[in-house]
Amino acid sequence: MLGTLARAATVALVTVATALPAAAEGDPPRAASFLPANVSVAIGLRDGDRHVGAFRALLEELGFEKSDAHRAFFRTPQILGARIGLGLLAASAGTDEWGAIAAAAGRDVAIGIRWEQRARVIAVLVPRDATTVELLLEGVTRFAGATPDGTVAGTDDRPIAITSVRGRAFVATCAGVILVATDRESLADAIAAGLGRAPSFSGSAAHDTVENTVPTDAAAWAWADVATLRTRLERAGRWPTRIPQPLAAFIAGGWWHHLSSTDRVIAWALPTAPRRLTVEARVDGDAMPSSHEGFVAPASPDWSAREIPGYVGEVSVTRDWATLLSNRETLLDRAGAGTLAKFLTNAGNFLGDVDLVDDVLPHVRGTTRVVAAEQTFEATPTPALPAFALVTPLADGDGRLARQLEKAAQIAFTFINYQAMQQKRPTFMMDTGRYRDHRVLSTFFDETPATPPIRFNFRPAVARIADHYVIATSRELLEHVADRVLDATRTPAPSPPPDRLAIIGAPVARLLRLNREQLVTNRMLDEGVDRRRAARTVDGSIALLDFLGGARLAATTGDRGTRLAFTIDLTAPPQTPTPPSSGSAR
Amino acid sequence: MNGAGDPLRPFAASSATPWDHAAATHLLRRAGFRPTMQEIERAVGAGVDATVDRLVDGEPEARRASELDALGDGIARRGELDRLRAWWLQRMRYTTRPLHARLALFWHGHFATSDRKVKSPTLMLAQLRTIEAHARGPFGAMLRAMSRDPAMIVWLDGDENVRGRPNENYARELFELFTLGVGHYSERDVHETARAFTGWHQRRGTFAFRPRSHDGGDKTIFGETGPFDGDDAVRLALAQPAASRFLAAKLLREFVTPTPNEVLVTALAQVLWESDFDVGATLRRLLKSTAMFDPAHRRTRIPSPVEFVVGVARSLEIRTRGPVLARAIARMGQRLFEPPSVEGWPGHRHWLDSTTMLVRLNAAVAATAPGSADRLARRYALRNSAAARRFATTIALDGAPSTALAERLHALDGTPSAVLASALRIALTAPEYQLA
Amino acid sequence: MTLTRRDFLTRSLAGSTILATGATLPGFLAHTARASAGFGPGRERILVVVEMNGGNDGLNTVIPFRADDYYRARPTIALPRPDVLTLDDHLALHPAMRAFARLHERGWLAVCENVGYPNPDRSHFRSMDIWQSASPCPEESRTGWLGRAVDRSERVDTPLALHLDGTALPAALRTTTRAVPSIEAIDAFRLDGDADAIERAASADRADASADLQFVQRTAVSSCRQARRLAALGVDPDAAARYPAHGLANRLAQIARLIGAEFGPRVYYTSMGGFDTHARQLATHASLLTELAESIGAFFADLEARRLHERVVVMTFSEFGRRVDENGSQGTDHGAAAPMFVAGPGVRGGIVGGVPDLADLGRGDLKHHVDFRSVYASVLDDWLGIPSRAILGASFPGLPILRS
Repeated sequence: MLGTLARAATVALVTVATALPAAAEGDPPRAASFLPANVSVAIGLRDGDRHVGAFRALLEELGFEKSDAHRAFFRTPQILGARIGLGLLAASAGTDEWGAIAAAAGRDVAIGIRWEQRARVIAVLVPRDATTVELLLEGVTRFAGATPDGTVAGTDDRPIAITSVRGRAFVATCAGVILVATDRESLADAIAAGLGRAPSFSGSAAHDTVENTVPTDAAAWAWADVATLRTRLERAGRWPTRIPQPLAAFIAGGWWHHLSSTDRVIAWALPTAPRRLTVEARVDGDAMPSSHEGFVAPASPDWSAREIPGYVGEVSVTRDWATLLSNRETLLDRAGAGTLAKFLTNAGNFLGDVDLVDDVLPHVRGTTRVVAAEQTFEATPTPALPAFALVTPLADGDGRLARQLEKAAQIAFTFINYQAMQQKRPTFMMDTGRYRDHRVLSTFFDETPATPPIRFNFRPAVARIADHYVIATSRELLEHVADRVLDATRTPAPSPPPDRLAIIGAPVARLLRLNREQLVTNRMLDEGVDRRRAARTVDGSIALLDFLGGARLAATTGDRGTRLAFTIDLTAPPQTPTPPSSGSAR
Repeated sequence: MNGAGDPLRPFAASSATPWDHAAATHLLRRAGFRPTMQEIERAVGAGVDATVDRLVDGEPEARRASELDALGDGIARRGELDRLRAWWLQRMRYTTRPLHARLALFWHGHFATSDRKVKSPTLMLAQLRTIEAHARGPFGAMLRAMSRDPAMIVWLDGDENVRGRPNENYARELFELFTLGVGHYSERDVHETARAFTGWHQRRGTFAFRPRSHDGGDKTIFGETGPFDGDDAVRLALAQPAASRFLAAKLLREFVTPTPNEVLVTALAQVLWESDFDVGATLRRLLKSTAMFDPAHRRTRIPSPVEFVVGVARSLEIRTRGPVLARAIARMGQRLFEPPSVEGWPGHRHWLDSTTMLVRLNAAVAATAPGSADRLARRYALRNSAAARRFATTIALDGAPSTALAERLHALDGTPSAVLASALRIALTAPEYQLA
Repeated sequence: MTLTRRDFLTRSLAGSTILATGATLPGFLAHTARASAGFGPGRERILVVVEMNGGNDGLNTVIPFRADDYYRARPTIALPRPDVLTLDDHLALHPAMRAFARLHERGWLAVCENVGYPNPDRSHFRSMDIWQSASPCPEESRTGWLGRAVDRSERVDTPLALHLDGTALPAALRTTTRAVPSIEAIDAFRLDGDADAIERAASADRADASADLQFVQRTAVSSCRQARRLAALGVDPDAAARYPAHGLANRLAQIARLIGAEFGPRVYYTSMGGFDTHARQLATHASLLTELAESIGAFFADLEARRLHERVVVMTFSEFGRRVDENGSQGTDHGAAAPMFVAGPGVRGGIVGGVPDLADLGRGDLKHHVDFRSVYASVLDDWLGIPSRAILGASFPGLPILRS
């Protein structure tokens, strides 16, 4: 999983860029005009070369090339081999590695995908430095074993030569634009569109929508013909009308409704600050049916969770739970409704006379948040996990519900203890006390072994704090949450987007460092690699997280559409990263 | 049993049974896992004696295996049984001491303790360590250690065994399954032996002798009377003539033939008896013997899923993912640390039915993906299709494919690595490959 | 024993033209083919066991709707008289079990009432162990009752029993010889290689093949044929449409496919959980029984469409029933005796074991009048043709629930 994370983060790093104004020089052709009108997905990149340059400068500024992450992922034998190849190629075109990448990113790039029996891809590159790009292209095609593959008609009766790279890629140059496609027919279609002999994507209504929606300073954009893709998947029986898993259905049901009724999705990326990239997406669909009304709900005012010491991240969702639950027969399929019924019975075992659906959920209004933060231990368990807190607004004037919920928690802890006792595992002691004048039920273990197992991460505590019900896995976090909630009631913060997801790199990196030995062990066993290699990957992945200032996703679901905003912040790692002792045993 | 009729006389190569690639492969497979080509060549060059000595004494452990070895305690402490399984499998995959690994597996099946009841990876690991420490030593010492092993005590209710209320579970299995076999002891022997083990308890995962729970009175076991304790019971059991025959037959089934005859059992029992049950010395003699290389004994044993999967990976030099190995092996009917009953895994033909065979075939198909053949072809510089075919038949079919397979192998054509991939697939999915 | 001996033959030779081409057959196959003449495929009877994990509330499953004591004991969770689906003058099915009512109308449902065992244990684990080992002292039993049937079977090449569930192998299937295969889904039986080529290589005659090699050859041939039959059968969209979207239905659908592919096992075992209904049980229990009844109903509809239904019987059990009196949370606590269902065209429909007597309780639980091992014995002797005495360690009187 770490590897995937690392790869994903690397990709994110590679796509990040800083602001640069687009410069107009003459009137070069538009890359999108070479995409046939019937593509299902279109992607564009503007002024790629300048963004590559800025990105390179950013990497240098952040010290990436000196990091463990660089060592782990960019100095493997395969990557080094590829880099040598790229270097040679670049030299033959009179530039260096970065120069070659920048040249290939060009002034304007468009990629189109069509799905028939298989995905057919067309890439269009409008270069700024045509000479370098042509030299590079020549080098690549020669190296890859290219052969001439006939011509297609061009302008002024001059045929355009097509080059085949082992039948897997087809390349042509037309009016200074470089075209690459996965099949010869697509390449011919692209040329026809570019020369105005066939309808082009840039002349379509879809493109107009893109132009009208995407800000002019966006570095990249994407458009997908969801209607066609959906029909295709529906025919294959792979587009479920409802989400089978109940929790997922209640989280994503609204988005799913919009995605199931929209024609298209448009997304774009733009650098919104130094070291920050924002990706936004829009899905416009049909109005929500009444069964889905619970998905559109206003967020409650923020109580700045991010100020909690050791804040790792959070998941926050705003739903009208009572409305959703009362429509569960519509929102869930039968299996899902069954799963939910079983869950509710189990909850009923603890709640006694109080019914979750009838008595509790109608009082939950606003944003429910799950916050994670680093925790302090007497003795650090393996693995060490962050503490979690579930915080939900609970309109409970006389506190009757809170007392019932406390009783339910006591029953639950007793039940856990009963099971633990049967398995001869340590049990919880329960304690009621007060924090800032609020009643708190907390738990602790009566003794802590020197090397505690995973369960010692969890010492749950519950409390009702100023119209919020809080369940935390440590009393420490419960108190931090209480501080934030109580301070916010004095100075209410503005309403944030209804649904949020956040993760901060540095604390996650610290947590992973605590668990490094276990991660290395698992990698050795799971991948069959030796300790040195396992440690290099693990340390590299952790180091990569050091560059992640934060990643945030916000979703706003309206009646007729969903808007998503994803922000990624890069940061320089802490000054003295603890040098991991790679290659040695504990 | 002396002279020409002695099945344990040292093997002497002859034109009928030469010391060749097939013989070396047979030895390495039986006293370890399916070997790599390099291991086969090395054994052919070194000869029987040197190869057996190397197997029994063990070479310095490979860095990979030592690194893995050090991880066990942490995994067990975290209570991760699945990972502990993967850990053991990876050690078998990468060890340079294959016979030691096989012996640990053999004794695990012999003492057949399951985590289903013990419910403690830490104790299961501790038992494995005890097994590994005694695997090649005197059997008596191993039995004395296992009688004190906390996992064993939990498994066979040692803690319930107290003066006045003896629990016979351990005493019965000590005779029935560990030393003598059914019919070689009386109910009275079991009862009196249970008394001898009273107070042999464990506390928090360590052996604890409770003098107050121990019955210090006289017991009569196998006709001898005295204030015996557990060690005495072990000594008395091993003094029974049935003990050496019981263990001899079990060792023969594991290393020589699933159906050992009387002469062979008697001869090996004699060796055990004379060496005071020294397992290492007995094995050294057995592995160098004529019986070991008897053509009638070759390809007669269906290896366990662990041997099969680890053997495939080792011989084709494939990098393995521990959990993937463990899952495949579980589907083939074997879960380490969870033998099906106190009797261990029944073995041989019981391993195979149409569903477990299917899993083995799929494992063979996965192992012979073009990537593995590519690497092998490069590593062993196989320059033409004849060399590739020869490599595959040597490593997987003892150099002697049946007519049906030979025809298919001969028809293969293409680059050396493509021929090798196809040849290996034909060989590994052939019925012959299931017999080791 | 002849029955088990011909297992291999009917399995591996099913539907093949091997007898006709006997002259060119390798010796080891031709020999067995001749021996099996007369025993075509599709003759073997099959048992499907459905474990209802958690302790099903038998009184709210098969309801003594004439008994006022029932309504007195369960003021908030009793099923109202007008809603229940009557079986006879005294007993009725839960309203959610319409699919079972339809089986009953066709005479395909045997209800064994008041099933249990002496000195009932209220622990889930111990009681389940008792049911699964069919031994009053499960600690001493190393094997399960079905596992012992596997151990005693002479079948060599295909497994007698199969666990299709995705949970750990249940104690009922523990063996001392070969392990019972346990799979999550049917995908486990896909052969990744070229089944034809592997089978050809496996079945080619070897000069002087040892008995062991012949054994492996036969097994490999069976594997390939199973895999191919299953692949050839494919996913039948019509069959899939017969099943509702329940977990149990999904597993039974896969079992029906395996039966259709003449896969080999005579015993299939699967389970559904969630029956531990301590609180607010009305809605949950209704959804559980819906899943149970609809899934099994769909299973038989599918089998009938495949013309396999007459060979299959489904048996359900749970580790215990629940207390007669409801508890304070509109639920029920662990109890004792409860009904079992045995369903299929092969059963003698109706009710055996009498009406639960709510006036004669032991520690607040229904007393058992039928030992569960009698039900096992009937299924073993009268359906599978496996002598039950050896499996159960004693003779238990059978019940008149199956057409033998």
